[in-house]
Amino acid sequence: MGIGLKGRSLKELLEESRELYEKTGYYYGMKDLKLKDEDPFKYERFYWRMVSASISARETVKYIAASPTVREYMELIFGIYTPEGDAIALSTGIMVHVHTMSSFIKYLIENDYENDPGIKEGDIFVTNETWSGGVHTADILTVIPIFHEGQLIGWAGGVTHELEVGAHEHGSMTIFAPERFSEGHHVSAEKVGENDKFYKHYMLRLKYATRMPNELILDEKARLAGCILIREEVKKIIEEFGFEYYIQAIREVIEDGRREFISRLKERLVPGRYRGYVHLATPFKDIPYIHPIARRDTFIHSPIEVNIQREGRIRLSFEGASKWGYFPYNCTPSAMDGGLWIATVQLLSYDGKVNDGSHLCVEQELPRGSVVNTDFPFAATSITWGFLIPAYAVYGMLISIGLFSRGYLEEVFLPSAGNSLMNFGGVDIQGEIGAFSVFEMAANQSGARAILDGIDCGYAIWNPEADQGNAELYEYLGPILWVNRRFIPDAHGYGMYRGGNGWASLWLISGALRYTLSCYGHGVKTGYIKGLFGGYPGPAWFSIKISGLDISDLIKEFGHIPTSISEIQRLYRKYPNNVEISRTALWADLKNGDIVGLFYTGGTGYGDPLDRDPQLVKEDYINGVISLETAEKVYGVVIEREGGEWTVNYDETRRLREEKRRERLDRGVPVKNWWLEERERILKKELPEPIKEAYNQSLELSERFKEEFTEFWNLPREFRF
Amino acid sequence: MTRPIYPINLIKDLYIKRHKMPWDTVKKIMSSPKDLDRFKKWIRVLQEELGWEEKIVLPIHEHLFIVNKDNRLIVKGKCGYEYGDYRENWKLRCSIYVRKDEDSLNELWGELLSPDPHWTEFREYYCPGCGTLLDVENVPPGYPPIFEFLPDLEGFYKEWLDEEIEAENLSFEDKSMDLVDKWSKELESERE
Ligand SMILES: [Zn+2]
Repeated sequence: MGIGLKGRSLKELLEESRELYEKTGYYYGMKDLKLKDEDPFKYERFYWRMVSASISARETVKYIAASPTVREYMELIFGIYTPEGDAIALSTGIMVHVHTMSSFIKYLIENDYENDPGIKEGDIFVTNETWSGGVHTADILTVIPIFHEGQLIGWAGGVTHELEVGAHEHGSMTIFAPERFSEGHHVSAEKVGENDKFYKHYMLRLKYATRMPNELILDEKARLAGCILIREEVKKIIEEFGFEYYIQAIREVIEDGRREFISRLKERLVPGRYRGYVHLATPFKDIPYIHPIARRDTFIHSPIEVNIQREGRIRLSFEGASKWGYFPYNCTPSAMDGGLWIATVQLLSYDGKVNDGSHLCVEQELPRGSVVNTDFPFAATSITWGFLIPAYAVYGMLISIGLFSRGYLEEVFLPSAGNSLMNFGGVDIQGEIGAFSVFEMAANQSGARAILDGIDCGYAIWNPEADQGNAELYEYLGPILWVNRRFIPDAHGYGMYRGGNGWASLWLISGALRYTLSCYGHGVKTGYIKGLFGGYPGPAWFSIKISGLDISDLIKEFGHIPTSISEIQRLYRKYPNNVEISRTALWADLKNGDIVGLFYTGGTGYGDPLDRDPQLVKEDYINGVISLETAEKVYGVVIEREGGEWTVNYDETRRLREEKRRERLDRGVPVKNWWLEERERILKKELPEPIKEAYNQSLELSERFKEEFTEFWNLPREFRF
Repeated sequence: MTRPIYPINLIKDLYIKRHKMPWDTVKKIMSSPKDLDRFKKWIRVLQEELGWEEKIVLPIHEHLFIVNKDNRLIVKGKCGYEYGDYRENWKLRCSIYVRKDEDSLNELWGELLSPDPHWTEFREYYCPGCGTLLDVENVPPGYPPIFEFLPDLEGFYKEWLDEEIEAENLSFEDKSMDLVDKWSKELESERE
C-alpha cells in the first residue's frame, strides 16, 4: 500500500506520469484542458491562489529569517509541487530553483524514501547536495509533504541562500575549494525532523556547522515555517475548490504552462542554431595558502549551442566543454537546469504559468566528465555560479538575436551582469567571530538593450528583485567600514547602447584582530563575456589592497581617501610596496588601517560604438560615466565646453567617425589572411599553457569539438597541443 | 488575451528613434501582449528604410540582413556590401583586427582594467564595405570564429509563419566549412 493517490506508491505515480507524457506528448496525458475550457475564470483563480500562497510564504519568511542574504537581498523562493515533484506554482525570487526542488523531490521518490526513512505528514526533508537537486552548499532546500485524507497530494518547498557555510575559507561560496571536503556544511537529502519539528541532533549539528550558527538555524526554521504556511494554504484551497478539482487542476496548469511556452517561443524567436562561447580564467598559481592541488592556472571554457527547433523546443548543448577540475566552479545537471531557468524566466517565461510545463520544452546536452557535468563524485561545486552566470548570460544574448530578428527590439536584453565576490572572516578585537560574503553584487550592471543602455547598479541575473542591501549591515557583521563606493569611468562594454557601468567599493579594516579575505570576480584576465552586434565585453576584473600607509597622511596628500582609478594608479606608482593590484586574491592577516577594494565589471555592449547617439555620450561624460578621451577614442564624439555648457560638435564628430571607420579598414586584414597566419601559430603550438590544456581537454572529451576544430584549422584529426 | 495592433509608424519609431521614444510608450509595449503582425511590419519598415530591390527575408544583425537576390539567399550589409550564402559564417568574409598584445588591449580600458594577452585576444570584425564594427569576440587564441546564428528559414516561414518561401539555397545546413576548405585547397596548391 503506497502513500500516493489511490494507495499507489510515489514511484508508480512518477513512472506513470513519465509514461503518459512519453506516449501522448501531453503532460500527464492532458490532451484537453477540461477545467480551463469549462470555467476559465475559476481556473485562473485557482492558479493565482497557488502562486499567492507561494509569494505570501516568501514575503513572510523574508521577515523571520536571520541571514542578511535573505532579509536584505531576498535570496529565497518558495513553490508548490505535484505528488511526483513537478513544479505547479512558484513565488518570485531566485528563479534558479524553478526546477531544483523538483529534482530533490524526484530524488526522494526514486530512492524510495517512501519506505526508508518513510514519508508522513509533518516530516521535513533538507538538502544542499548537487546530486540531489542542489546547486551549491550555500543554497539549502527544504521540502515537506502535503497530505489529504491519508494520501500524499503534493509538496511545499523553499530555498534560502546562506551567507556562511562553514568552509575552510570563510563566507558563502568558497573561491578556492579543490574538492567538496572544503566547501562547507553538507546536508545530504536527509529527513531532519518530524511532526513539524527538527530533530534535536539536527539542531545540534547546525550549531557547529558554520561560524554563524544563529543565522543558519533561524533561516532553517524560517524555511520550514514558509513550507508549513504553504501546506496549510493548500489545504484551504482544496477545501474551497474540492479535492477532485485540485488534482485535475494541478496537472492542467502544468500542461498549460507547456503550451504557453511553445507558443511564446514561436511568437518571439526564429528556429535555427545559435552559438556562443563562455570562459573563466582561474589564475590560482600564485595564490598562497590554498591547497596545492588547486594551486595552478586553469582556463575553463565551453562552446554553447542553442537549437530552437521547429516543433517549439529548445535544446542547449555544451559539447566541447573543458574537463571538470579541482576548483569549485564545477557544475552538475541540477545546477545547469538552475542556470537555464534564471535566463529563461527573464527573457521568455516572465509571466503566465511559470512551472515545470516549460521545463518539458527544454533539454540540455551536458557532456559527462566535463565542467558542466562532473563525474568526479567529490568535485567542489560551491561556486558553480562562477560558470553558470556567464554561461546563461550568453544564452540570454543568443535568445536576443532571435528577438531582434522578429522585430521585438524592446525585448532585446543582454543579461550579462558580471559578479564579484568577497569572502571575509576572522575574529575582531572584541573576540567576536565573523564570517560572510559581501553580496553587493546583488545589484550589479546588466548588459545593453537594443533601445536602451544597460542598467547601472540595479540588476542581478539570478534574482529579478535586485537589491544591494544596506552597507551598514556588513559593517555590523565584521570589522569593515565602507570608505567609498563609486562608478569607475569607462568601465563598461562599449556599444551603440552601452553595458551598465562598472563600479568599485573600498573598505577600511577597522577593529580586526585576525581577519582574512579572499576575492574573485567575473572578467578576470579575459574581460567579461562578449557583447552583441559589435558591442564590447565588460573590462577585466581587479581587486586592490593598500597596506602600511597612514590614512591621515593619505588624506593630507589627496584631500580625501584616494578612490578614483587615477588616484589608485598614482598611489600604486608612488608606493609599489604598499599597493597590491590583484586578479584573484587571498589576503591573510589584514591589519587595521588597511584598505581593500573590489571591482564590479560592467555589462556588455550592443552595436557599434561609433553608432552611439552623441547626446548619450555627452550625458555619460557629464555624469562621470566616461572620460573625454573615451568619448573621442571609442565613440568618436567631440564634446566641447561652450559658455559653461557641454555641447557636441557635430561636424567634428562626423569627421572623426568617418576617419575611425577608415582606420579600421586600414588596420584590418581579410579573415582568410588571418586564418593563414593563425594556422601557423597553432601548428607551432605557440599558445599560452592553460589554453593549450583547455583545448586538449575539449579535443579529448568531444568528438564534435575535435572535428570542427581540426577541420577549421585544417589539422590532422589526431592533433593535440 | 487581447493582442494589440500597432500602427506601422510605431514600429518604425522603435527602430529609428529607440531611446528617444517616450518611456511610457516603450514600457507599455514591453508590458502588453505582443502584436502578432510585428514581423510583417518590421520587414516593411526595413524594406522602406533600406530601399533595396531585393526582398529582406530575415534581419540577423543591426547591420546584416538575409535578402533574396535572384532566388539565392545571401547576407547583405546595410551599406550594400554583399557577403555570401547566409548558411556560411559572414565573419569569414570580414576584415579582422586582433588585439593580442598589451599595447593594443590597453587601448581599450587602460592598464588597470585591461584583459591579459596571456589569456585572451580581442577580435574585431569589420564590414569590408563601410568599416562598421560587426562583432567583438574575446576568445582564447585559436578559437574558431563563432557562427552566431544560422536560421532555419524553411521551418520559420513554412511552419511558424505559414508563409511560402522560395529560394535555391534553403536547406538548413552550415556551409562555412566549404569556404575554409577552399582556403585549404588554395594553400595546398600554393605549396605544390
Ligand atoms: Zn557595411
